[in-house]
Amino acid sequence: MTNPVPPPVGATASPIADLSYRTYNGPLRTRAVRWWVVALYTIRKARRSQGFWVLSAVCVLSYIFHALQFYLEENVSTLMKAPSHVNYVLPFFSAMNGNLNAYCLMGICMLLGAGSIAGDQRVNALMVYLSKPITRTDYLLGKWVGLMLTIFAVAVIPSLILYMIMVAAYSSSGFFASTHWLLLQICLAALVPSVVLSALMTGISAWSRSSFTAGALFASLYIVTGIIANILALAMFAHQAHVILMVRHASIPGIIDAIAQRAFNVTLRHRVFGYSSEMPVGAPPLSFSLSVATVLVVISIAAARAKIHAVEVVRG
Amino acid sequence: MITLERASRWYGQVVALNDVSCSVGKGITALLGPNGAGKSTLLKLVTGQIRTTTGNVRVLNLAPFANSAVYKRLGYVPELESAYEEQTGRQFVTFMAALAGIPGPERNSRVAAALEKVAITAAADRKMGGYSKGMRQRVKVAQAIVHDPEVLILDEPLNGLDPVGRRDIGNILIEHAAAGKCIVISSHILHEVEHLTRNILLLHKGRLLAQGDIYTIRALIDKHPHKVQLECGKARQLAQTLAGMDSVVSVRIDRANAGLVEIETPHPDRFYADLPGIAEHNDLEITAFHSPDNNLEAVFNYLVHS
Amino acid sequence: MIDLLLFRTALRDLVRARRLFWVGAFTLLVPVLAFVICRYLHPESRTWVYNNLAGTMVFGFVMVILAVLFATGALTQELEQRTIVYLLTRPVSRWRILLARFLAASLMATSAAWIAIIGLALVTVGVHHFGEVHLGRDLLILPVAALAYSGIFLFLAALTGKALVPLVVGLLYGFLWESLIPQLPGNFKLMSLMSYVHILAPHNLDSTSAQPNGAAGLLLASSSSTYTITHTVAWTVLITVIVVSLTASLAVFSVREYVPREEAG
Repeated sequence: MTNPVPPPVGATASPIADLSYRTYNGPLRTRAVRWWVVALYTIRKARRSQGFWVLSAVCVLSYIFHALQFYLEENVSTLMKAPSHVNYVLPFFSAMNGNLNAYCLMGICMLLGAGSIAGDQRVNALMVYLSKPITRTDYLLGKWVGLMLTIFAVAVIPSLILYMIMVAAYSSSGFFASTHWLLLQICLAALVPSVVLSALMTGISAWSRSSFTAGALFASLYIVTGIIANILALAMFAHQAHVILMVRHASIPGIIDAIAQRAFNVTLRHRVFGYSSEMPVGAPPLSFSLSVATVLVVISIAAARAKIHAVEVVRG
Repeated sequence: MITLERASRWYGQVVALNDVSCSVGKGITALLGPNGAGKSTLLKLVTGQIRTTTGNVRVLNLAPFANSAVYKRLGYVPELESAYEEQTGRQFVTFMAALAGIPGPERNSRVAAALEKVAITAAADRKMGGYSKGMRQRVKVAQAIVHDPEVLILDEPLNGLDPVGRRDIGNILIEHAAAGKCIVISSHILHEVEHLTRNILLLHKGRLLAQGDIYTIRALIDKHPHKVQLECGKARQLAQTLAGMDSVVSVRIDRANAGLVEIETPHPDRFYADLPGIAEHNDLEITAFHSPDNNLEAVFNYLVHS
Repeated sequence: MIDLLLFRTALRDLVRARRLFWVGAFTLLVPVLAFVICRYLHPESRTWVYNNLAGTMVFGFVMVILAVLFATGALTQELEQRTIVYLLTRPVSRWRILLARFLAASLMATSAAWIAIIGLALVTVGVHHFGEVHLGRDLLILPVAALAYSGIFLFLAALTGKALVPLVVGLLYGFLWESLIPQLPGNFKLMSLMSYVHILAPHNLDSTSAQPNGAAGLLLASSSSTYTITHTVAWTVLITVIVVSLTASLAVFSVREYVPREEAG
C-alpha cells in the first residue's frame, strides 16, 4: 500500500484546509505602506499599455501647438508690427485646459481605470487581493493613487518640459519676474483633474460589471454633467453673475476648467450653446471649486469602498 | 473525423501547440494534459476559433476556421463560464438551436429534450446570471447537444459539477458515443474521464506524448516496470516464489499490510500467464490481485515525468 | 429568418433597462435645453434655437455619442463577456452576425436622435411649424449620419478586438477630431465627416469662434479653405464611408480570430 504523505511544514493536522484567509483579520506584517504595492502594480500596468503612450504623445501635441502659437505671437507678430502681449502663463493654461489635453486625460483615465476594479471582480482577482494581508482601504487607495499618479504625470511632465524651454528662451526677457508661482500653478492645475478623474473612474469601476460599461458610464457622466450644468446656468439667467458661474462650473469638466482659470489667474469667455455675450465670464471662487471637487472625490471613493468585498463572482 | 497534420500554433513567442499530428474517430477520446499543455489551444483549432500557425486541421474533412458547414455538425462546450446573464437557460438554448438551423416547429421540443437530458429543466426559466457553476455547465452541454451534432467537443466540461452532475454528463457522453458520434473531452483530472473512455490523447508542453488505448500505451512503456499487488495468507512464501520468476524484477512485502506482496515486472503478459501455475504448484491461495499502475494516472505520470 | 433572430437578439441586448436610462437621458437633454432657452432667455427666434441645438446637440452630440456607445458595444460587449464563442461556433456566417448587430446599433442611435430632434422641434416651433425648420430633411439625414459614424466605430471595434480601445478612440474621434480638424487651415475640413453632414443638413452654425486670435489667428484665416463641398460630394462621401467602413468591418470580422487574450496558451 502507499505510504501516507507527510503534511508540509507549518500545516495543521486537520484534514480540512485552513480557510481563514477568506476573512483574514490577523496582524498585518507586510511593508508599512501596503497600498503602495497595489499602486505600483497599477503604474507598471499603465507603462505596458500602448494606448497610454499614444494618448500621452497626443497630449504633448497640445503643448507643442500652444508653445508654437506663443512663439508666433511674440516673434512673428512683432515683425508684422502688430502689438505684442507678453503673457508667459498663457501657453501653459491653454495647453492644460484645452480640449485636446482634456479628452486625452479622459481617454487615459478610461483605458487604465475602467477595468481596474471591474476587471478584478470579473476574474475573481479581488478575492485573491483581499486574501493577502491588505485591507479593503489599502486595495482601494492603491488602485486610486496608482491611476491618479499616472494621470498627474501625463498632465505635469510636458508642462515642466515647456517650463524649462521657456526658462532657456525667455529668462533674459523677464520670464521669472512675471511667473513667481508658475510651478505651483502648474501643479495645482494638473493635480485637480488627476484626483477628480481617477476617483470618479475608480468609483464607477467598482460598481460596474465590465470595463466597457465602466468606461461608457464615465465618459457619459463627464460629458452630460457639463451639459446639464450649462443648461442650469442658462435657466438661472436672471440671477447674479457669481451664482451663474458656480452653477456653470458645478460639473466634472467645469471643476477642472474653473480651477485652471483660478490657478493661472486667467479669465475665459465661454460660448454656451451659442450664447456668449449674455453669460458672465470667469470662474467661481477657488474654494467653491475645491469644495465641489472634494465632495465628488469623497462620494466616489466611499461608493467604491462600499462595493469592494471578497465575494466570488460566478460569471466568467 | 478529426485530423491534425503537423499542427502548430504560436502566440507571439510562446508555442502553445507544437507539431501535433493525430486523428480522432468515433467514440469518446479524452484529451489529457496538465494545465498549459495546449489542450484548449487544440480544441480552439478544432472548433475553428483560431488558425494553425503551421500545419493543417480538418474536421469532417473540412477546414474548420469560420466554416458554417463544420459548425452545422459540431457542438462545442467552451471552458469559460461566461453566459448571457440576462437570458434564461431556455432562451439561451433556444437561441443556439435557432442559430444551428433547427426549424421553428421542431425547436421547442428539441430544446426541452436537451434541457431534460442535462437535468436543468426545473431552473431553465431562471436568468442565467443567477446560475451556479454546475448549472452553467449543464446549460452549456445542453446548447452543444441540442442540434444532435456528429462531433462534440467539450473543454473541461466536468469542472464545477457535483458527483451527480458528473455522472449525468458522463452518461450523456456515453450515450452519444454509442450512437456513433465523435466526442473529444478535455480534462486535467484523470479519474474524471477514466470511467468514460480508454482512448486518450496526451499532451504535454504543447507536444503530443501519446495517443490511443490506455492499456496498449501502458504496455509499450518498457522503461517503467508494471506493478502488481497480490494478497495472500502466506505472503513470505509467495514473495520467495515470485522472486524466482524470470519475469519479476523486484518483490516487496508491504510493511503496513503483512499479507500484501508487490512485484514489478517488465513483462506483464508473461507474468500473468505464469502466475496461476506457480500458485497452484506451491499451494498458494491468492485472495486479491490488482495492478495499481495499469491506469490513466500511471501512464500520465510515466509519460509526463519521464 | 436567422438574420431576423440575430437582429432581434442584438436589439434586445441594446434596450436593457440600464442602457435605456442613459439613452433617455441623452435624448431628453435636448428638448429640456430648448425649453430652458426659450423660457428664460430672449432668443433671436425659435427657429434660431432649433437650428443651433439641432446642429450642435443632436447631430454633434446625441447622434455621435450614441453611435460610439452602440456600435462599439455591439461587438466589444460580446468580447468582454466572452459570449462571442457561442456565436462564432454556430453555422451562421460571421458577417451576418456582425451585420445584424450593426443594424441594431444604428437603429438605436437613429431612433434616439429622432426622438431628440422631434422633441426639440416640438418645444421650439411647435407641431404646426415643423416646415419652418426643415425637420423632414433632418430626419432623413440623421440615419445616414448614424450609419456612417456607426460604420467607422464598428470597424474600430472589429479591428482592435478589445473592449476599451475602440470606445476611447471613438470618443476622441467623435468629439476631438471632429471639432478640431475643421478649424485647421487649408482644406482639413474635408477630413471631418461632420462637415459633409452639415452640408446636407445645414444649421447656419458659426464655427469660427474657437480659432486663435493674434498672429496665429491671422495665419489660420489667411489660409482658410477655398473648397466648397457640394451636395453631390457630401452624399457621395457619406455613402462611400458607410459602404467602405461596413464592408471592411465585415471582412475583418470574418477573418480575424476573436479569443480572449488571457486564455491564450
